[in-house]
Amino acid sequence: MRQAFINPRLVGRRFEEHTVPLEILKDFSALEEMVVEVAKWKFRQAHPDSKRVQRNFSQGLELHLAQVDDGSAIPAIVLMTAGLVPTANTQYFELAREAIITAIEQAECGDAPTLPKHLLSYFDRFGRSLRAGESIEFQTGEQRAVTYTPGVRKRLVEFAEIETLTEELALRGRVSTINQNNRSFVLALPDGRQIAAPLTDQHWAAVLEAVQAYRQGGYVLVQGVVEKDRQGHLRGFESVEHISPLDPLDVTLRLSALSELKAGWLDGKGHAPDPERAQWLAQAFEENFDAGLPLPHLYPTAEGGIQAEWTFGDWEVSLEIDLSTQLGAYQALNLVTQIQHDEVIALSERSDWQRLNTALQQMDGAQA
Amino acid sequence: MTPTTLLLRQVHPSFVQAGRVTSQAFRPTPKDQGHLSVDNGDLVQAQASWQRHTASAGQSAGVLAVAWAECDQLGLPVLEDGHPYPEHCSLDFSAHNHNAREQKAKLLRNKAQARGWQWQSQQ
Repeated sequence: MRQAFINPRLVGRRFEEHTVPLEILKDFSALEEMVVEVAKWKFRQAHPDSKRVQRNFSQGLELHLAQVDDGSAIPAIVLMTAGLVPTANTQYFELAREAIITAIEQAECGDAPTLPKHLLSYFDRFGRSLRAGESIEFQTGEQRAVTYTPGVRKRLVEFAEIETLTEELALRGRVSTINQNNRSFVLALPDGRQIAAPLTDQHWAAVLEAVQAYRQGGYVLVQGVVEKDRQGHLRGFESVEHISPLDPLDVTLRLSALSELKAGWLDGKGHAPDPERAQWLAQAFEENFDAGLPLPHLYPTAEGGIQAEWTFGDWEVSLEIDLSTQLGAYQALNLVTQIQHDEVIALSERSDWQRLNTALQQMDGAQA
Repeated sequence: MTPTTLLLRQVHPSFVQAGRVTSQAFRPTPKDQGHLSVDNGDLVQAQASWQRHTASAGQSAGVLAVAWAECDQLGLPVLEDGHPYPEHCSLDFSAHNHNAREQKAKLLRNKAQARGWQWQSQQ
């Protein structure tokens, strides 16, 4: 039989189509492991005289994803039991669910969670796929919801006092070394850090290509799970999912380099771009810029902004971006006919990104 | 100065990406009071112009050039101000608003890049 267990609401742009990315299912797999372990802990609390939990404690009990409901995206997770009636241990699964949600609520409020530290360590994997701005909401009453964000996860993992924290991350760098003996490679980051990563058969060709491109400044994007110490220092990759060569005009890489500029960079005059705002722009490009269009060349402006430029045949296009107002002054000029279009693009608005994409697509299409 | 006189412009390294120069290299910054610094190519060679600029703590990836006539066609007077050194000149953008300055900068950059680097740093 099956019974409703938990209906968390996934909030964020990735979930707006009422679908759940497969990547997130890994997190719910970790949640199931946590539920089982917390349920055992609850059992021991209820049976202080029992030295150990019965061997088949969770046998016949599983969490399943039954369906995805509307409302951003709400995965309906049910508790499946092998028989026709709930087993005696079902109650501990329900207590575990409440204990986990309480721990999240405590961390959300800045309080110390009441779950033991060894159980809090499961939060290292549950919620790891959440990106900035995303959250999971757990309904706790008619009007109340507990919100699990990457920040709340970080606090819970800090309470767990584990040596190594893990995080899903995408890093840009150059492959400087391959070590065939221990099947690893080294990713050299633009800031000089050297990060070791395991080398698996499926990535062998991509890593070999990347190491050959090292001298020509060929960058790659490595996506996977990284390990960090409690101070947040990167230790290395625990696992690698994807390796892809980067476009020489990669926006994030270029903006990261421009963020290193200091005040006075333009022979004593230029304001430096604010690194956090430049990171916002990189994210905005990542999310909104049409992947089928050529990437822009990017330059700093004397005022601390960024100017993006494209060339499409006779058309020269610039977008002068004020990072503080998130407004872009768009100008397209035909060098032959001198036809000129000027407008302001609000880069905080998706509809304005669409306007920009459409304008560039027209020039790109006319050029082809 | 004649219509074919080249006006030499230093290009900051941050204004070059993958060999492409931004139009900003040919647009005065807000602190320039509408004047863009160039050197009179009849009086100084591109290499010497670059050496003087970099010797005085300026950064330059190289020297591009536009002709006097090209500036004149865009309504940009060339001021032979001779300050802070004798061959110094200024392109006067002060009569134009921001959009018009960017438009003229695009046209000048296009002419200059088509003409090619007059001198390029080896770094």
